[in-house]
Amino acid sequence: MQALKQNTRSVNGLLGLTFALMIAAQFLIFVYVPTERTMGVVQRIFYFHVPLAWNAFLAFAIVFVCSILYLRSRDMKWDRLARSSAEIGLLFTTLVLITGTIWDKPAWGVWWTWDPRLTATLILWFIYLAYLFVSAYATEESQGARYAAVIGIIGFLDVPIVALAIVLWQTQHPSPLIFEGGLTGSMLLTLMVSIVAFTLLYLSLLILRNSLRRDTDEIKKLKQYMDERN
Amino acid sequence: MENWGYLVAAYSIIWVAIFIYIFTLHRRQRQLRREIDSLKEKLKGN
Repeated sequence: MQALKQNTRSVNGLLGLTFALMIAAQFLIFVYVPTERTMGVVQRIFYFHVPLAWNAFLAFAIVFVCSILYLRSRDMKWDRLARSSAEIGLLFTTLVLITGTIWDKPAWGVWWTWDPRLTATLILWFIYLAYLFVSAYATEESQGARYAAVIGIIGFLDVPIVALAIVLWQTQHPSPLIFEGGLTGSMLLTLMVSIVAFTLLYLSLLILRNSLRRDTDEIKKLKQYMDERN
Repeated sequence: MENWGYLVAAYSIIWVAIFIYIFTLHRRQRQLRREIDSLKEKLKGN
């Protein structure tokens, strides 16, 4: 209970910081940054779309590392952390796909196209959906954790494919503007603040989700113990 | 090329989804607190 209260306080502090930075990011996105000349206001989706994608990659990288650590140690804390991160990563990937399709319509004239990056991202979404299903519906907890860890490791191979799809194949998706110097100073600043704000949001959600999983497991154990005693 | 509708739709969907997720986590947290309190009561009874 003490741990739960302590976690709540630290997450609330982090959420407060995230909220303040998010407000700053909204100001930069809607007031400070100039409207892009070719695409107009719809280009501002970029300042949400890219940070969400980066954090989805970060979330899946955490799943990958925790899955390896789980298979080596069989310690359930790594499985809990991996599952928490996968859940948030899946939420962010869903939002990346939705914001991407909303941006596609005015930019390309269609809601969806089987472009290599879009297709690889959709595959990524299915991989982590399968990951969560396997970990949730396995007959035994340890078996589910083991299978999920294998998916978490193999599934991560799709992340570099998504990231490099615009370089490896001919694609409609814009090239990496950040690395090619295609952004002005104000655009780059806005993007960076938004990335930091979304990273803090990811960390807050990860701490909260992981502590909920840990407390749920503790309560389950306590209930089993009490049932055995009675 | 003004497309405010698309921008507003994308922006709304992001925040509605994130707030629903945070709300779900907080609801689960409240539920856990209730379970802890009920377990404490049971332990006192024993």
